[in-house]
Amino acid sequence: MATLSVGTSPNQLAVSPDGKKVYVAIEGDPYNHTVAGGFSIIDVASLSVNTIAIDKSYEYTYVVFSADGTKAYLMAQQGDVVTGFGIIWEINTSTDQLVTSFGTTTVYEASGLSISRDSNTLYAATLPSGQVPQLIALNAFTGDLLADIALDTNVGYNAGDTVVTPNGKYLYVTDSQGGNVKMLNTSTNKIAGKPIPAGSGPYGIAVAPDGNRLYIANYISSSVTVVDISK
Amino acid sequence: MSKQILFRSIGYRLKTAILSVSLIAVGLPGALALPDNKVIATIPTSTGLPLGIAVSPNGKVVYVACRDGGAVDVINAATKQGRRYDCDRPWYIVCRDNSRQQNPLCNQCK
Repeated sequence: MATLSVGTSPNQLAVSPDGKKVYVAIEGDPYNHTVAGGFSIIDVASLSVNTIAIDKSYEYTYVVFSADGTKAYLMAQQGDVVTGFGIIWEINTSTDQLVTSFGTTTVYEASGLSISRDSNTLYAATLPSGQVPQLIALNAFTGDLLADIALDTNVGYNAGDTVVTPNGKYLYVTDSQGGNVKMLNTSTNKIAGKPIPAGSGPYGIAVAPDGNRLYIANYISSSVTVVDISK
Repeated sequence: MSKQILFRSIGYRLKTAILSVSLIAVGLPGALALPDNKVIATIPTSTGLPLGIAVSPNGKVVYVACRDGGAVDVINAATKQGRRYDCDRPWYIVCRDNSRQQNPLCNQCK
């Protein structure tokens, strides 16, 4: 086992489709504005680390790769929880350089960034100020808001994490306070079927590569819920 | 309205109705093909605050990052049995797709 220093407060991480790179979202210290957040790139073969500092105002929390690995998307939110507005950066993965950004009015207190199998749509769980938790769908090229879907009737908490099935037909999102998982039909961007009961505080979520099983990490009840999603 | 126009109108409506019924029929299999989403097991983790979770590329192993307890649980997907590995406050975890290795990587893992 190897331990690598990748920066201050590393958050979520993602492996490039070819397995050669790992991007790690780095929060930094956006609350005291002392350490810039950004992302770190781990070269898997050499285990070398290169950290790209972006700014001291945002905490960078989620990163995903496009299916072909040519792009990555890095999501952040302002450290000031009063404002809490976020941003998504597109990264050119051949140069590890920032290309463009969007989402400053739609990505609010966001978590659970994921991308559709065709890499055309980004999804995130967000918490608009004073509203119920939402799942948003954004055009990955323009950042345009394609859909915002209310996930619960309770105001004031964020939903959790998201995952897209291998066939791309569905996205599952954990509703951490509701204690369940909801399924989105990605072709209609509408919730389909009934909520799946999970343990208390469902957050992390993963799907088996064959698309037959869904695994949910319940942080309050300290358990993993296994769901048959084969048919 | 002349009889000819009336019959044409009725014929058009019939064709539209038949087409609509056909489209609904074609759409039915897709509408009914939702996954069952049936909970089949609940597995306790070795320690508290499981947050991140990942499945190995071959689907045989599930990794769970348990933040407060400082552990990564490694669960056999078939038997649902797990082993605990100490780790310093892991939050998220991913698996690298490698044909010979199922390498888990987690943040803040030591």
